[in-house]
Amino acid sequence: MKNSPLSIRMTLLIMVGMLNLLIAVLIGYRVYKSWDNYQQAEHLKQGISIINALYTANKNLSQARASTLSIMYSTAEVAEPVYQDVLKNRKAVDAALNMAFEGLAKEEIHRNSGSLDQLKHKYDILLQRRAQIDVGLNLPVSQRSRSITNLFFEENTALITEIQDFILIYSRSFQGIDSIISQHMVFEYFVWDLAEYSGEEYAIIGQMLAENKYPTQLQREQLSFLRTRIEYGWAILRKFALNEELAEQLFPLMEEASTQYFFTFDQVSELFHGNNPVGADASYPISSTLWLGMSAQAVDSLLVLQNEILTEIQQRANKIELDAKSEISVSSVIFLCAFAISWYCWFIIAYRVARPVNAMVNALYKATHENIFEIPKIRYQHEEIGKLLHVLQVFQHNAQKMKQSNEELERFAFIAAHDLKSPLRAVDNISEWLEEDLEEILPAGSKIHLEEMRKRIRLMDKMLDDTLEYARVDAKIDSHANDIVSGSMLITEIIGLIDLPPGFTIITGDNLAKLKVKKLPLQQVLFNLINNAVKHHDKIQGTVVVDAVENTTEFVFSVKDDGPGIDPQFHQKIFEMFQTLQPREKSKGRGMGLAMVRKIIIANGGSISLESADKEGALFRFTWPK
Amino acid sequence: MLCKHSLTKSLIGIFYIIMCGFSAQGFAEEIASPLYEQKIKAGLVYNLIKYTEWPKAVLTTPNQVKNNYNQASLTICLFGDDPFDGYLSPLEGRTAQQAVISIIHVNSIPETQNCRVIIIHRNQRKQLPDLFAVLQHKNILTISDIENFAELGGMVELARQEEKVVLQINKNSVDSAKLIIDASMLKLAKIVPPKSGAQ
Repeated sequence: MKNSPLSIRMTLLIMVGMLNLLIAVLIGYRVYKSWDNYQQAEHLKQGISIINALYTANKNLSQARASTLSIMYSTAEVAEPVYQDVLKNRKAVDAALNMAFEGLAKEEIHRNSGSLDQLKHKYDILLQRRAQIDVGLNLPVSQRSRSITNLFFEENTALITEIQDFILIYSRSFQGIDSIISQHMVFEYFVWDLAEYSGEEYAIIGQMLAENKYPTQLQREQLSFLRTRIEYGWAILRKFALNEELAEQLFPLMEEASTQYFFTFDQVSELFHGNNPVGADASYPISSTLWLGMSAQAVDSLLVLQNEILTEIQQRANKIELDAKSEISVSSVIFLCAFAISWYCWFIIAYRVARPVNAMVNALYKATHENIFEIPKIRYQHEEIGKLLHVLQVFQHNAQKMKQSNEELERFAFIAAHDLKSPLRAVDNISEWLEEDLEEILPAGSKIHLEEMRKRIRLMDKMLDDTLEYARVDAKIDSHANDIVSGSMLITEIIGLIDLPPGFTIITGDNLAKLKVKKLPLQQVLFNLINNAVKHHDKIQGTVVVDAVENTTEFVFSVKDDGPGIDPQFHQKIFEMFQTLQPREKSKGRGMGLAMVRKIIIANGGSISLESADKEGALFRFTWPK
Repeated sequence: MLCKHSLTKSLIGIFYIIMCGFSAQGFAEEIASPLYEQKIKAGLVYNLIKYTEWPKAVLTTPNQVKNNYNQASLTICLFGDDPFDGYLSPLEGRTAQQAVISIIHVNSIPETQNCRVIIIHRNQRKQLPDLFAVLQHKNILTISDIENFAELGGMVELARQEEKVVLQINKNSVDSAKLIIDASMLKLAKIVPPKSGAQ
């Protein structure tokens, strides 16, 4: 048996396969996205630790800057405790920057390498300046270089600014990950901005307090510039802190930082910003040490705010990482489940549906085409397919029985017809002998009766011949002896076999004329139909048209006559054996022609139909597989 | 407000000239110095509050009125006159340690019941022993610029040393009130021992 190119089994398996693929793509995409989120969260966490380290460095740089400025103008006795703080700040700066540099070195692609080099360069310069400061501290206050102190201030500030710029550029790569983190980072940036300007301000004031001098013109300008920036910074910070997502958490902290700044810096600003003589000696009511402590605390309050935001960012990043992890786990489990279910579906369809259906189809095909009756082995007999198998078994059993019964019937018909012919022939001979022996004494009426008896005997003999022929219809035709002829040749041969009365015409259609067909048993079918049309015609003249149409799988032949036609009520009856529309005595045939036609057609896998009405001619149409 | 205080200060300055006979230059310094000094002291008071830790129950008593941000209140009592001439008043309504600051004037010791911080004016010096006796073991921070305040048993003295404001803290008093002043604040102060006999 040939399988069609896309059998039901293949179609189902392909569909399941496609479904598997679709599920794999969808869940795979989900896993990919989760993995991407996880990596981003990891990247973010690493980035946050670097940013944290950089902010820590900046905070300590800022404190060290103010303290250094102060001690450069203080006596050794006053400077000593502050210098210890400076050393702590320096240590913290070095540790934080080294940690940040190590973290950045681990990042494979670093887009800010230019600014990182710049940052490292400024850090190196500051390290050199620190050494000069330390040398200067060993000298008396009057001999310490003011220019080195100023350079230190500028370079320290430059490094802080560079770090801040670096953070700004570096943090951009995280801003797309999460909008809240992005918002927090911007806020953090502004907080640091404000902290830095405040840090510069308290460093300058610290120097003035240590020197006990009113501000120089340059210091006045610096303080004025810083004041503007600080006021602007507070205004921005307030706006940000009033943002819905940040307000509850940050606004109280910001308010405290603001109050502390106001009480530390603003309340005393006149002391340093007022119209005092430029650069003149002054006597401030606060020591530089107390000032540095207070202002460092005020700046620290801002940094508390910043730490709070950093913690929030860190928690957010942890949450993103956790979400991504659980998403990966869930997606993987779903993927495995979907894969298992898909595979199970594939198994069910392949082994429990497609395979047994295929086996049953094969069994049916063999039973119907090759008369081989086999029952396929199916494991799951309690399921629907199993029940179908039982139906198949019943069908096959019935078909086998029917076949046997038909064979026996045909064998019986053949044997009966064959065996009946001998006694019939004997009866015929005996009747002739009786007539010859009793010729002189047999009355005329009895002679007629004997003649009638012999007529019946001959009719019965013919009928037995017909029965034999009918029984032999299924006998296979030797394919080697079966010629392929053209339609026109076939009809010509048939006409030659028919005793065609004058006035009758057989027309072969153009389609039929061109066809190439196997001669047998088609010739017998067409002969019977044409002969039937001529024999039962009710006029002196008549026409029979024979034609055919070719389809992809079969031929459709038609035989049309202009005879008396057949009443529709007899359309079935005429195909039965020994059925004539007129009494047997008057009938021109024995009622076997159309029965033979139908049997041959059905035996060859075709079908026959009749279109006719009384007195309107008849059209027989039959299909003939190629 | 500022004009009013400047006027008050000017009058005090004139009084000083008449009473003490200070020179013109001395007059100018005395006018300028207390003005900034008081502002610096007011700033120190806020820092002190911010870096002092009260026992948790004190700032979170259940019947306290809380604002929109669920903040408790923290009452600063000015015992006697205002030593900072109103420079502390901007603190009113602000927050420290997430508690809202309120400032009230008290003139007698029984009125100090609900105070968390008491700032004592110089003119109440005589009441100090009674006040310390009442406040003993209470979680109340005491601050004053009375001379030797810390040595006498007060907690934080806003003293003056070589014309500069300095902090002096009596750690024993702070500890006995179960208050904790942050190390960063203690670092800025001079820790003074109590005089024998003082609390």
